[in-house]
Amino acid sequence: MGMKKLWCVVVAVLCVGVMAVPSLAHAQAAQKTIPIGIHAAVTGFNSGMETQVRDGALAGIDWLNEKGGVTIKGEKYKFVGVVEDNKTTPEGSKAAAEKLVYDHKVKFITGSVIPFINVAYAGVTEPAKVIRNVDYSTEAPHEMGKDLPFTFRPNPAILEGIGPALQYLTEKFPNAKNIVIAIAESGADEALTTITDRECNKRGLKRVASVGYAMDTVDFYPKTTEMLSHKPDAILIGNGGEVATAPLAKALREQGFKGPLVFGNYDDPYEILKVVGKDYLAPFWTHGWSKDLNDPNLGPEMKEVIRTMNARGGFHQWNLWGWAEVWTIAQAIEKAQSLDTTVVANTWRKMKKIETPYGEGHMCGEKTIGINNVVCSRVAITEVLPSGDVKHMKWIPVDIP
Amino acid sequence: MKEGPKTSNGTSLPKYALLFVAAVLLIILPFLGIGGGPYFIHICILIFTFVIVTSSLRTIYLSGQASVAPAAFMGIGAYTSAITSARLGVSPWATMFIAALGTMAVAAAVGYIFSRLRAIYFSVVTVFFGVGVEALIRALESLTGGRTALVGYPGFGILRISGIGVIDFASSKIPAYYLLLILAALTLLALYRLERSRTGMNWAAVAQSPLVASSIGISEVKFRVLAFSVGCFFAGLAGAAYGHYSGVLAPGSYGLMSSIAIVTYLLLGGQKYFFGPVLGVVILVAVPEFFRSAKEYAPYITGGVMLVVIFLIPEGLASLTKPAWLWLRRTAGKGAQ
Amino acid sequence: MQLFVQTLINGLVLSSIYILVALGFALIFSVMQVLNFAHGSVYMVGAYVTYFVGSIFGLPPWGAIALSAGVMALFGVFLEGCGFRILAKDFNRTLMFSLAVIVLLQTTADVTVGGVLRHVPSVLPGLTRVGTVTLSKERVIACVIAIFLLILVNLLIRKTGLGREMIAVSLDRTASALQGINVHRVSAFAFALSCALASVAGGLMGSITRLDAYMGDAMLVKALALVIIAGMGSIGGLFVSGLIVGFIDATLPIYFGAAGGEVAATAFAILILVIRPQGLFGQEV
Repeated sequence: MGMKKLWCVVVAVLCVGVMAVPSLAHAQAAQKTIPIGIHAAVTGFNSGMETQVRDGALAGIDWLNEKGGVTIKGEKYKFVGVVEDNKTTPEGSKAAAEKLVYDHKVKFITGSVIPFINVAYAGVTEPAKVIRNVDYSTEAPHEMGKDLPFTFRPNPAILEGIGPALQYLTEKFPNAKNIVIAIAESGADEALTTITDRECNKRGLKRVASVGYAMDTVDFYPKTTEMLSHKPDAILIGNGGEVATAPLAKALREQGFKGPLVFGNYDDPYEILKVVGKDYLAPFWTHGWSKDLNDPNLGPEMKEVIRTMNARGGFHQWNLWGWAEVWTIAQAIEKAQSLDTTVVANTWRKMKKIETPYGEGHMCGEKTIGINNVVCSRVAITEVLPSGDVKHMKWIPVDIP
Repeated sequence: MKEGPKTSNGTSLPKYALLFVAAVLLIILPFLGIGGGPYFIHICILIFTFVIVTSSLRTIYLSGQASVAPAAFMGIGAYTSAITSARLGVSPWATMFIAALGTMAVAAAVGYIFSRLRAIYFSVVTVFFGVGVEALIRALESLTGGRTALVGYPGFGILRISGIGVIDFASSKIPAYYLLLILAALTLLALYRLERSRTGMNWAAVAQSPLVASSIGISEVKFRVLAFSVGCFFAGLAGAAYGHYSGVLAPGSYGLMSSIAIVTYLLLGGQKYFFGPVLGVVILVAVPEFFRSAKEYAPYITGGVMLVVIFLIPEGLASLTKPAWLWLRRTAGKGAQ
Repeated sequence: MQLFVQTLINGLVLSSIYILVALGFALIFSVMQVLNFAHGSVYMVGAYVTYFVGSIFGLPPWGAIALSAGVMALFGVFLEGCGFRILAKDFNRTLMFSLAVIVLLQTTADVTVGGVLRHVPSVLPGLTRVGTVTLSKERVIACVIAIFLLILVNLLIRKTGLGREMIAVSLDRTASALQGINVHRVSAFAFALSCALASVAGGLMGSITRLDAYMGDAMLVKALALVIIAGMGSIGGLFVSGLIVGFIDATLPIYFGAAGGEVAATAFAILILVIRPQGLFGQEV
């Protein structure tokens, strides 16, 4: 009886082994190529957002190639995207980075989103002098800074988001003074609270409380009860993701909070709208983006992304992050006219003009984090009106000194 | 039945030969340049780490306790070692063992409290314990960094050994490879001897029939706690060693799903066989890495492998070694044995 | 005072949600003495099926939930017949099987649906007031449904023939078979009902909050806690264990933070297990 089972297993293993063949073959291209590693959560709890980032990066690569790729000292190069799954775990993050750096031998990587995932693979890319363009970070020194000279970020994140969101609040609701900030417990709590206090003090607002919540909270009522017990005029949401912030917003509205929901993060307004419903979401705004191609203020670069992604099956705003990452890497390489990552990194840091889907930007960050590795451009204020329409209201330029 | 050549203590020679070949292979493996150098070595280090944890879990299972919290104890070891080396300035070489001892102490206390529970209830309480430990790591933010990663604690640094020279753990993965390989080998050796000793037999007795065991004077509680403590010592050691290698810790690595994965390594390999854990870890760690090309669909392959084993090979993959060996002998023309 | 009333109501709502999810889990545990660790994933899939059935066939929320419950019931029969029946009471293999099911279901959810946020249309949109407190009507409905189903299942077990057969099977499979009870049919029915209950819970939760492929993970631990505290063999006991865990989760995080609240909740579960392994109302261990 054991023999029969053994055969079954051998046959099964062989069948399955045949399927592995593609992973062993590395395609040879006649054209000179620059591989770009895409480090993203293809599986695991953040896969929803990061598969969109990945799609944006891959689309961005195709777009760059259509425009001719890059030319370095007369030679034409095209980009090739190599995706590795970080599984939203620290081990997966490290393994994916190892595979990209040592197996695929990439020198440029895009991704990922979650701070501890990025921290997990910094130890792989920095010593190997591999440039990585992360989706998101806080100002913590082990995430970005002079100790991580090869880590860049082209997308606005926490640092850039809180101020403008509060600025808009003072413009639209000048009587709102007391702010409660809801923080998704992620270890960045202190940093967020500090930045919030700073930005509040600048504008005569008062942070009356910080309430932390877990991203996988089942029912937000207990938390929202706590938040509302401080009698805020407005509630600021500085981080998190729609998965948690949407039910949080819904719970706040259901419990009778009528004040502004100020999202200082980049959550997708359409997603929030889906969950909360248009009847009582407003007043609400976020730094997420509108996808209205008829809006003249969105900018041609952004519309290019929206159009391209629509043609490829549908635009989801996180595509922008991936696209921005590959585009800025390409620009830095072009400017440096070199594939040596030290040269590219140094050149990149000095760029006073660099294009992003959000408009033109410049490199910044020297005083705040010790190194000019952040692309500062502008953030959008996208509001959901009482009618239920999502409308881009304005752009606010950001700068991190 | 004619038997193959044996050594004086009754183990068959081919088995020793196999072990020898395996040892040589493992020693030269990093230099064979397989699959992109450092990436492959990293996977090996991962495998060695989990072989330690899974084998020590097997020891706990030997005493009739199905613990579903191995990852939690890995986490206790990892964080204890990282935090003590960072805050007290003690070398990781020492904190690794201090943390393992600390983990063992926690396990002894906890194991004692839980020893009054049997079977499924024991397993359930370990589930809660594991969940609680992960939550605790997240709660003690100022100490552990909370939900974000803990970084900035010392790695193994640079070793200066007279006669060999300088071994730098930061510049290459190879020193860490050998470190984890040595730890794994020592662990397996220790666990093997323990299993064959009087203690091991008492564990088996306690697992089989606690009542009969107590009637002949074997204290059920004492041996259960002993098995649990020993098992968790090695889990803590592995967690600490890997932690200093990887340089970053996150609570998510030590939660319920990670524990269930480790239990699966054990069951897939076969808990009744000493090398079951090795087989289970190698298959379940190597397969997903091998199939990265399948991207989103890769977990299907892992799930499929698991189902095949659950239904077709219930004793675990290691149970195939006998039929496989017999088949080899037959094809080699040695006839029925 | 306002805070107190609000917290009280929050606790009741949370308790109801937990009871809803734990009901199916408890049923399997009591009848088959098996811990179906895949229950969280079944709950998650039930929520997604509710969403899709509603959007594809344009059914009103109640219809979608009912149809989804039917689909998941069939899935439960399949799970029992092809899986749990063969694995019987082998805890290790059922754990591994549950993990395989979790992996397969979660991957399917990831691959088919992806990350776009989904939300099940509300069964009863709108808000209502209880005293000075506002809350959504669907939460009130969830409370009502939880209690209703709890009583229903309890009555099923105690008063109907099928229920008595389930008790018999849970006490002694062989003896029941000898008495002429079709053990396989009873087990299949228990599983079908369990998955249907999980699906209803998922559909309701999908409208109270939102859907994602990992919503089952956290719920599994809660369901486990409720079931263990109530004890094997006790369905009605879920009412008490639900209230206990629900109130712990509604109040403690305010003082200790989310992670701290979790530590407290698990510590409580461990305490009960160690002091009284049979739970508050369960059969003797």
